[in-house]
Amino acid sequence: MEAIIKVKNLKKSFKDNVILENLNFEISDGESFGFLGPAGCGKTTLLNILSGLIKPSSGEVWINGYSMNTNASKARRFISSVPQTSALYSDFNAHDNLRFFGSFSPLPAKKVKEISLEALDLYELTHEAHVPIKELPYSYTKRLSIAVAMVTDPRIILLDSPTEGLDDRSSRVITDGLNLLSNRGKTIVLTTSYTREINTVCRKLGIMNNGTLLALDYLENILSCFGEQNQIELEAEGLENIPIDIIKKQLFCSVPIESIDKFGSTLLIKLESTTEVLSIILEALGDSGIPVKNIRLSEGSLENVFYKLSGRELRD
Amino acid sequence: MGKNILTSWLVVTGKDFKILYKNRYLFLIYLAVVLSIILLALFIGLYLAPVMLSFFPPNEYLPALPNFMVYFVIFTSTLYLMSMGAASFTKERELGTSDRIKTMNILPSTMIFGKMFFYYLVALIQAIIFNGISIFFFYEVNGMQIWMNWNVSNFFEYVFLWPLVMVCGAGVLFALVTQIGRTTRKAVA
Repeated sequence: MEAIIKVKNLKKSFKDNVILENLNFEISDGESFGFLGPAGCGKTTLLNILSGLIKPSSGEVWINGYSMNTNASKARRFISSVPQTSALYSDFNAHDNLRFFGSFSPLPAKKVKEISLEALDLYELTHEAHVPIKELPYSYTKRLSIAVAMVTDPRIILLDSPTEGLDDRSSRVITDGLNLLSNRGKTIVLTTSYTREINTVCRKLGIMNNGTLLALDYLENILSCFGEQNQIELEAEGLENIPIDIIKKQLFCSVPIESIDKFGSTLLIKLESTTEVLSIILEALGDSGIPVKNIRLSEGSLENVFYKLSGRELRD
Repeated sequence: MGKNILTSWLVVTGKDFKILYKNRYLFLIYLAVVLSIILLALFIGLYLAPVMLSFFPPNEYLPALPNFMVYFVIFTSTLYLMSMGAASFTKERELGTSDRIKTMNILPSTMIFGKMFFYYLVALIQAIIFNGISIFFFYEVNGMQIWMNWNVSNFFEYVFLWPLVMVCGAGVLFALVTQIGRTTRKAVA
């Protein structure tokens, strides 16, 4: 796939304080990409540079082939940015905000209205559309903020911590909406310190710490590279007497397994998805005459990956 | 550019008028305060000044007192509008709306001129009302005066100069406030 965002040797510093250091990456068209990192690691600065709000100290950013340094106006055509704050007019209601920001869209007014209504529906705001923003709870304004980003029908949507501080329902509404946009071919780039967003929205991610990219790859590659796949731990009677090869033969035929290890009477199975294949594994072990006593499921954790990479916790 | 510069400019101006309409009660309070000062000027001009004339020896300043009052009202309301304008710029920055507009491919200058145009129009309406009052009640002649070797009519002064002073002052105040904000942020960091 063609790269819609290209970043080369990007650096940003404020006097002696280095915020971003030598970043190089590409994001393909239609990809959902996440930057994961703790607060203060430079995620927002990176997003501000990508949206053309601040200039880098050195290096270059290209959006769909247009350089942000020399051709920012053309590059910005493809972008819509959702900042960390709601960035809406508090005296206006949802309709007014959508109409105002939509008036800068190159699309015809009728199309903008259509998109606005769809965005309100997508983010479950139709019933609150006439309530002034200052009277709405934070979670609603955050959802509206993303809806407003849709009115210009951009190819790239940049989101700064879209679900931070939100309840589970609002987070789900936002991630569902972003997944829908991603399925329609929009490029989603988000920054977050929550692994939940990455797991539900992003296919590819960059792990950041202190202004540098520690890792950049597809989610499953990063998890498997750091031994953080989903795993099932099974304890069974008489397992120590059964050779591992027999168990492997039995299970590899039935389900897609990455690795199997045996430690005494415990079997450690690493695989892509735990919930879908658990019943098949239990059935296969039952057929082999291995009675399972205990089961423990654990999912791959990006928090652990971050700890392994940086030696610190993702959130204090 | 999504829309042409003039359209974007007018959209920003229209948005500020809409915000003014949404906060019309606050604006009405502001107008009430201004009108009460004008009423005070009328009271002084029409009732107090003639009484005062009987106590003080005739001089050329006392009859002009109501006019000075009108100037005072214009000056204070201009200052008030100036601070409102500067606060509005700062609020946009605080809310993040100015950044959002910028990412929507609108030039910062378009946004600034759009906002300034709104305050210019408000100041203009205000200036026309005050000019009308001073002509109607105080029989001020809409004549000429000399400003730095220029022949300036009172109309020009009210309609262009005062609003322009207000708009430029708002810009300077905004720049000052922003600079103080930056310094505070740096100090906190």
